[in-house]
Amino acid sequence: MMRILFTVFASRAHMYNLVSLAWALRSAGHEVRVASQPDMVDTITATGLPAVAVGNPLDMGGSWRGKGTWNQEVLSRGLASPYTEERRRDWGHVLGEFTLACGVRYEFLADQAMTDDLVRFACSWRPDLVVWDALTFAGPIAALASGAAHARLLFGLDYIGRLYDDFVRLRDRQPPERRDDPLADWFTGRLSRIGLDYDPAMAEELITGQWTIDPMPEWMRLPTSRHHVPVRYVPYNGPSSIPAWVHRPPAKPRVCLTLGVSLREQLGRVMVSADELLRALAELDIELIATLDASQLSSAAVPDNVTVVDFVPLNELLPSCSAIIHQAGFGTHSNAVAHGVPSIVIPDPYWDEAECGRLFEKRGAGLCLPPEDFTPQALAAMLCRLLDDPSYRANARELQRELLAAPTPREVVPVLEELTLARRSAG
Amino acid sequence: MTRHQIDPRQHSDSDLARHLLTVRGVQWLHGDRGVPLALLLRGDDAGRDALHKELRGHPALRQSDVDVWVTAEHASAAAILTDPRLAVRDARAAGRRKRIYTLDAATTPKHVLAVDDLLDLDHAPVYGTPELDEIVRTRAAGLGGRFDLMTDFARPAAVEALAALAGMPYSPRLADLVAGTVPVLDVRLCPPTLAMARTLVACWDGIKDMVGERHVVTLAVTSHVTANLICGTVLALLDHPDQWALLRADPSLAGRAVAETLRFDPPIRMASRIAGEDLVLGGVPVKAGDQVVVLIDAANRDPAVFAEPDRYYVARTENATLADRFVAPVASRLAAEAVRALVSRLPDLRPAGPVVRYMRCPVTGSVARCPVSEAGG
Repeated sequence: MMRILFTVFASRAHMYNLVSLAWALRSAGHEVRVASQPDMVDTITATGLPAVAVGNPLDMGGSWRGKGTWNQEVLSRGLASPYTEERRRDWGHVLGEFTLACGVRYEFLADQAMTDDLVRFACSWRPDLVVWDALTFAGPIAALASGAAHARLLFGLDYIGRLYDDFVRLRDRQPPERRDDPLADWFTGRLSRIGLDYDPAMAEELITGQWTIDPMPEWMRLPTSRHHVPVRYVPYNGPSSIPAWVHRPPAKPRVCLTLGVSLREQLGRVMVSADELLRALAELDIELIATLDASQLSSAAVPDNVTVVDFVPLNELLPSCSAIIHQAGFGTHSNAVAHGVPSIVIPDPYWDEAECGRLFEKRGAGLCLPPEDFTPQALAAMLCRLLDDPSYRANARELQRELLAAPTPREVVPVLEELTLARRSAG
Repeated sequence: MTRHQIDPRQHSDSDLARHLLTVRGVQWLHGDRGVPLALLLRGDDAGRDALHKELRGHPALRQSDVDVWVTAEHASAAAILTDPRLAVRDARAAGRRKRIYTLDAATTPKHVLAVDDLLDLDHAPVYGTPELDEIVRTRAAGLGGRFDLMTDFARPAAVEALAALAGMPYSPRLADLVAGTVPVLDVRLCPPTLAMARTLVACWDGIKDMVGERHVVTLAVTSHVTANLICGTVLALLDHPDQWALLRADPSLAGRAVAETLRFDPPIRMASRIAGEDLVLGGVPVKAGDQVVVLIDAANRDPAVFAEPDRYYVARTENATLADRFVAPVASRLAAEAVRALVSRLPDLRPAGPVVRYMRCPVTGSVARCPVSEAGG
């Protein structure tokens, strides 16, 4: 029996990503805890997993907007600013990314208060393994403090690993007087609080874990020489009760529309209302399931073939769907792949969404509509194409087959046991 | 001292690193939004001219953050630097405990570190004597072939001459300590790395122990100003061969060349002031406690004051440069002597590789290495 401590910053999407693996370990007889900021505790306990509250409430997306000064407005924008991989991968770019990360982004997501609490908990609970969300850098610190092995859990393309590799390569090409290294300062400070001296040889594991648990399917993975343990994505969409209509076979092709940030922003920018969008899609001979909240709709009547819902679990909805329109968030596109449903991707700007859209197109399992090209008519035309051409469905089914070939969380448990044991006896 | 201007000696690595990283991260954020001051503090040397141009014109004072202002104009710069209501220190924060800057801080960071808040680092009215010139001449006499203008000449010459002024012999130990204080004038506005910050205070304290409080500024500040002024002058001259030729013909113009460098490439590029009371600057209301940053290098190229401002020429007669108030007379004197000695001894001097400037030194643009050679050497 091992003790396994999961840690994740207070984001629902990132928390959902670890649930299936945590339960696999729990049902294999291991002790599991999930540590996050206090505002995630209810979400964790709703999964049946035991929660540990660490640090102060994170209030993602809330607190910075509330404070009003220019400085804080800038901070909130910085936290949300897109990670644009299309930017030049030169020294200025990678240095800027880690300067922002160590000073603002990573530091905000798992701050000193959270790290201190997590270290305290780990030192008393003594986990064998810490599994940390790839943006929750309190994890490796708590592992070092308590002597645990540690693995990072990815939630998308490994841009952090690639950025780190670029950083090291480009830094070492700088003249010594210009080898700026915000990571070294960040780790020096954080390790000094647990009584350890930072050594540059420690950097890689602190950034990418002793190994990486990778739920990305092979075709979405960036090339890497690091040790990745592949695991099948098993959907967890949150507590759900399933409305009866979900199980009724649709009379017309059913299409799911989930509104990402990009789509919402585009609606604002091109002065298209949600009503207009729904009308454009409703003209097609489909049944549209739109996840919108009431505030996004005017009082105008919703067309007959459109069902508006606040929330419906994709895992239960998608088996009856012929297509899904989404923003390429990790949970959403993974659900689409898991059910072999073709996608129209209107990528959000946060992480790897644009690249995911490109990859869906490349595999012929979907189409990508860049937000700047968005109009309701363009979306409707694209949807027709996706529904009329059976190859999209066939290719989406192929992606589903590939996903199902990856080891399940249950099958990964012995691998994690072995790796943990090897690390613990080595170190 | 402003609210977050901490003394690194009083903070753990953990707090100091967090402070430095957060200020730097926020500077980077502002830069990503296109705030010119943030981009300059980031060290965007290539974009400097364009940023200065963007800041010129009406209004003379531009807002950089809620309570941070910046000027690139000569007239307003001169007015700000002579206005007694604008001080280096924040009188209101003087008695308060300084706090590290964190993401949830309610105020902007403004000044970052205080190395020795009791001393006036901006202005050291130190004068030189003819004996010091001799030290520089002797150093120059040993040069030849391919060498590094900064590490083989400018810095050791400045250190030796200024040590003599403090009654100390030159020693490699002293030179190393001085080298560790390179970012001393930068850290008020730009966070150094953790290692740079620790080295800076350790070396500052080491110099203080060696030469005493009275001369610490001379060694740890004026020597960098002097050395950068030497390199800046030589680089400007080599970049303008007609001007180098002028000096070759008449080495006594070296003083003029140094004066033009104080305008063209000043060893101190920006100065920061804190408003001691509510006031109006160039029609803009500035509140007590607000920060006003003067871009000396930009003001020194203000076309309203200088004809052909981007041209370096030794015979220029306008002498309204703002840098001289930050540069001790001894620095200009030693630099002039150094340039005179170089142009006389090595008339065919030329660049021999890229100039390397230290990271995180946007206030001084401090030169780390400057390879040069005699023609054929």
